Amino acid sequence: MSIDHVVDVSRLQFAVTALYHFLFVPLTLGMTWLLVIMEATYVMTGKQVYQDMTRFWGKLFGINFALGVTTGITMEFQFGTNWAYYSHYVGDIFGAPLAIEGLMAFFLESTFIGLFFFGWDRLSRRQHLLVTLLMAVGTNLSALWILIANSWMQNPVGAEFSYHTMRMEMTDFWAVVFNPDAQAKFVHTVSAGYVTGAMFVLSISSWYLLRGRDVEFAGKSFRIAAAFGFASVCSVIVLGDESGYTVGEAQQTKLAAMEAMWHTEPAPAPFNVLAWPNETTMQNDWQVQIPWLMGLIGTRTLSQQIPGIHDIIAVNRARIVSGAQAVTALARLRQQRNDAMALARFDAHKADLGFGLLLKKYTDDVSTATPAMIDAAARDTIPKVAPMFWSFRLMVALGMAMLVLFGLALWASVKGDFARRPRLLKAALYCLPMPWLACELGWFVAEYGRQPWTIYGVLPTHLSVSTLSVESLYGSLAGFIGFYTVLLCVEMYLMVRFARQGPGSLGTGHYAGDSTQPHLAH
Amino acid sequence: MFRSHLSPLARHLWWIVLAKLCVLCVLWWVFIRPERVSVDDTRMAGRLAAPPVAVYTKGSAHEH
Repeated sequence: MSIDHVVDVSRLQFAVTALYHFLFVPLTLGMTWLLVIMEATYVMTGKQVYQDMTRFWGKLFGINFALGVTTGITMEFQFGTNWAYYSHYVGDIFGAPLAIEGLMAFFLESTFIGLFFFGWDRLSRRQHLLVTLLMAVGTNLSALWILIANSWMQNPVGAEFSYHTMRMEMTDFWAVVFNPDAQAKFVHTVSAGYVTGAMFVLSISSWYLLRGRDVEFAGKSFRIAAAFGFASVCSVIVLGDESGYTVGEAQQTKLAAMEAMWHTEPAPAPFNVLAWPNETTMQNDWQVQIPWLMGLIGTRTLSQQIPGIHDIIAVNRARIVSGAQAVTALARLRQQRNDAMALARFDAHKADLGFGLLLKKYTDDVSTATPAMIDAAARDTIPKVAPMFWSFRLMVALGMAMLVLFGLALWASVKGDFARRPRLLKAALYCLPMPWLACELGWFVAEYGRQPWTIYGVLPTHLSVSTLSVESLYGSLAGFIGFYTVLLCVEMYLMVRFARQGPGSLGTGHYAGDSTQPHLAH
Repeated sequence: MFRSHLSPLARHLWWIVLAKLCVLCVLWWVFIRPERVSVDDTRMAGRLAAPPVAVYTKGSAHEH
């Protein structure tokens, strides 16, 4: 089996598990804060319906959490098996936020989720509200540390390569924590989670309203979801712009691919609203542009240029030539640690070491790389443009559609006539999958756009992968897909079943279809 | 005894989480455990900086 095939299947396996894991995460992120709002309203007003809302939506949150928990563990399996060279190379830095997440945030989250479900009859109103608040904080802290780790892969700051240990070593912990990419990505991602939670409550509440059941309960849920969702979707859009700006600063190739910018345009660059990128001719077959807009979004100036793909390839080609010298000097240093000439050459070119490693795909001895190999490696530094371009635009379109929907829902909530607007309620119901689709597309753009690197500019993907057998890779891939498919079916079954039962499943005697079953964990 | 106080949903979730942990253990046992890959600085150097090359001189081979 060729190393390329191992790389492709390992990437597929990680993509499948990561995308599946992120079906659960955004709903958890969003629902925790909605539960805080509902319970805070209950504590402030003393109205029973708000406690019922907290309990009922908390039950659906519990289903999602129970099904989702541990789905991320399979990714950690893969770091050790499929990506062992990656783990050695960057484990010192990447491992730190993951460990902090596990030790601090996950235990905080898990402890308070347990108290949330089992503490209703054991804690006072205010104590339980504090528990719910800390559950939300813990959930968001988990996301923070994971995103710090991921953002370091996009923008590797605060670390330096050691030729003694053959790994990246942390030089500045706080630079890793306060990585601008991490800050922008964190707020953008958690806001997307809040939109997901709001859409979940809005859609199911709309279904109750369309059927005319539990109107007070559904109406109050609809109002909270509409207001929270509108604020969140505005945040996602504003913070997405900030996230895009940091991408332009740290990952020019990703930005150029997202925007199908083949050539450097005079500042301020136009924005390609629609285009048909042609990978063969390396230009767009056709395009619809808005003048100036890309320059304003990408640089926030009227005078700064955004480099196009052709210019980026030319710069990267020079860095590959420089990096080849670093790789050759590194090989010499590994043989002769006190070779002063090799050390001086390595120090002079070590900033381009990762680019030199790209040549390893074409030759074991990079000092013998031909111009054709260097050209091919330089071309590899650009991810495929069409998937990036269309995924990004679909994500943005979904975000804008949700902005309109939440705007209309909030407007109808303020006027108080949403229950008499069946078209709005149906739209809210049918839009339920939108935030999940947008989240998955966003992650696709972030991760596919980083290719050909696992650590941007530092470690190429093809050198990160372990040399595994084909049987093991396909076997574990099939196992993960089968496992996750069963879990997804169980999740959908339980969600549909308990959403259909509605607040009647609480057994309070106040709602349609009331059952005599005691509610969750009582 | 503890589980008898739980609602049907909580019992479902209890069994699901237990089944998940079992399946994860099986997946780990069958596919992950035997494939443990140990990487140290020598192996990493073998992948990134091999094969060893002769001492180069300034301006050689790299300037394409």
